[in-house]
Amino acid sequence: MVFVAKTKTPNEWKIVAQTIQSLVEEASFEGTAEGITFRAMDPSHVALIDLTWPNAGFEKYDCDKQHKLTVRVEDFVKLLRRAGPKDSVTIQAGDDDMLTLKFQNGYKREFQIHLIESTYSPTPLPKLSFDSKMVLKESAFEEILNDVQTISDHITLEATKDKIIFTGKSDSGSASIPIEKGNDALESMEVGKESKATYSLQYLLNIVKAAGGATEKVVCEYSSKMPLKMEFALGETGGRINFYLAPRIEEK
Amino acid sequence: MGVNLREIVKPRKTTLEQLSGRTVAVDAYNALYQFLSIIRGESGEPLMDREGKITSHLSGLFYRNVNLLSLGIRPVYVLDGKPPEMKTIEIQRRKAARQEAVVMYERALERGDIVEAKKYAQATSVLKDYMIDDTKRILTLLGIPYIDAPSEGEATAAHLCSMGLVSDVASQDYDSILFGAKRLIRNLTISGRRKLPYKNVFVTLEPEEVELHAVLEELGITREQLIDIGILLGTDFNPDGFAKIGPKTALKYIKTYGKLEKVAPIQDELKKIDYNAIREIFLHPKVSQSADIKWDHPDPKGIVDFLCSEKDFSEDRVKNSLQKLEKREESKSESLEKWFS
Repeated sequence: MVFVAKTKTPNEWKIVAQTIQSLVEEASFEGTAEGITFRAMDPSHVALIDLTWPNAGFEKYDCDKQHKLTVRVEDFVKLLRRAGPKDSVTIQAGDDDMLTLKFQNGYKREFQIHLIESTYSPTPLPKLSFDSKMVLKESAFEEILNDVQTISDHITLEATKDKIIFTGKSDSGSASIPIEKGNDALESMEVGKESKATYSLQYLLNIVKAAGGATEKVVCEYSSKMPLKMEFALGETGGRINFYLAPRIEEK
Repeated sequence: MGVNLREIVKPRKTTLEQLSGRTVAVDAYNALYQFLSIIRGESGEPLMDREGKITSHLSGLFYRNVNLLSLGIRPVYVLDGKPPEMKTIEIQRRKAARQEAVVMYERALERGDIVEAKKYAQATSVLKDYMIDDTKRILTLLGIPYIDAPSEGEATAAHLCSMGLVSDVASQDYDSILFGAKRLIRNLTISGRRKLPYKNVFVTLEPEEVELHAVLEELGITREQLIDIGILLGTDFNPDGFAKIGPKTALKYIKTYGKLEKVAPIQDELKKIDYNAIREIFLHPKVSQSADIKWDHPDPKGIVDFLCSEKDFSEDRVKNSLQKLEKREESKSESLEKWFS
């Protein structure tokens, strides 16, 4: 029984691990012949990450049967931080409950960490239909979130036919950032039905900062008072990180 | 009492903070009996209003739920209906134990032995109809939903959990997982510093979590087999269990033989109980099939009127707690669970 996954650089793994770290302490990766998947919610069940990383996205990928690889995310991130930007990364597992990470650029460095016992229980995906969809420039989106955070700990997304307005309000004041169709920051927008919902900024910022590192755009989909779905491409690998965030409870 | 599966299922420690965002079906009678037995004065007397009506349950329901809500945990209370007929023996036993405790309590008071009196007082609690009315009233004022179960509260609570309408069940009894609850939380409504019954010792109780799926996977058994283990140890429907069988033996028997009918050493004793009927109670209990569970905003003025004007609670303390709740109201998100089913 063998599991080997090699990437040319550590970038994708760093992004995946940091994204996961923003939600959970333990991560169970599922390795199958098709590739690697991961799905989990944060302990308060407000946010969900759903990762798909197909085998074609690796320099080398070999998996003879289903492998469940559970790690303490902190340990995993710590090791990945040691990888230089041009190191290739090989992740390996066998029968001995150990996970091997090999970094190579010139000479080889090899680390082993203990896999932990999985307390993972299968997470379903929320059943959703979306009225509004927009593709935002990742850097602009991150700026908008930072802007609104100066005022509030939550952000309201209001999509109409020709624009999307991001607003935040608190006792200290308000922030409003309208972006019209055709603006560079907004690559495309489809609004079937006008949508308005409010989400926690803390979750959004954590995820966008972590997952946005490997992509230039973010696909956002939502409906009024419904969860937000965001899709991030995982570099050029064909992999993607989907993120679901429950809306804030509406005030009366 | 419920089945004692502790040694087998090994609950995992957690914290109220980690449970933030969860929706929890609370076994109401279980919680109420705890409040009534724990929330008592110096010599073991329950809290009372000016008319001499007990208010211990209200104190527990109010302060506990405010704490849960302000941490982002959303409870729904499930109240017992008519108990299954097979529970008669257990109910009689509890009644007798209570009557004995009342006698011992009064004798201790006569002797002026406050320590002894308090010890027995905790076992004398009886749930009166007016307490149930109080319970529904304070829950409604807090914006917390409740459900009247047709039979055992914990069976309906477990059913809500397996249907995905709530994420957890809160009860002290492990029966909940036999009833099919995906996740059981113990000590939810009593976590914190608490005096041990019958002893003058304080302990800190932390919430614990038991995940049915993880338990079954770890033990390598099915839920049906876990129920058989419960029957060997003794449930509310065969309180005595089987002679000389503890958790380890019960687990070994069921793992070795598969099911009760095949456990050779117990066949004589097995004939004396209607084990199929007990299995049936756990596998197909009488439950509320659907439930409209909605949390509302609390009504601070209504709460102060009820607790302070009618029930003689300290207005300062009540208002203080309500403030804590308001702060929380401003910053919470829904749970994704809502969109799973």
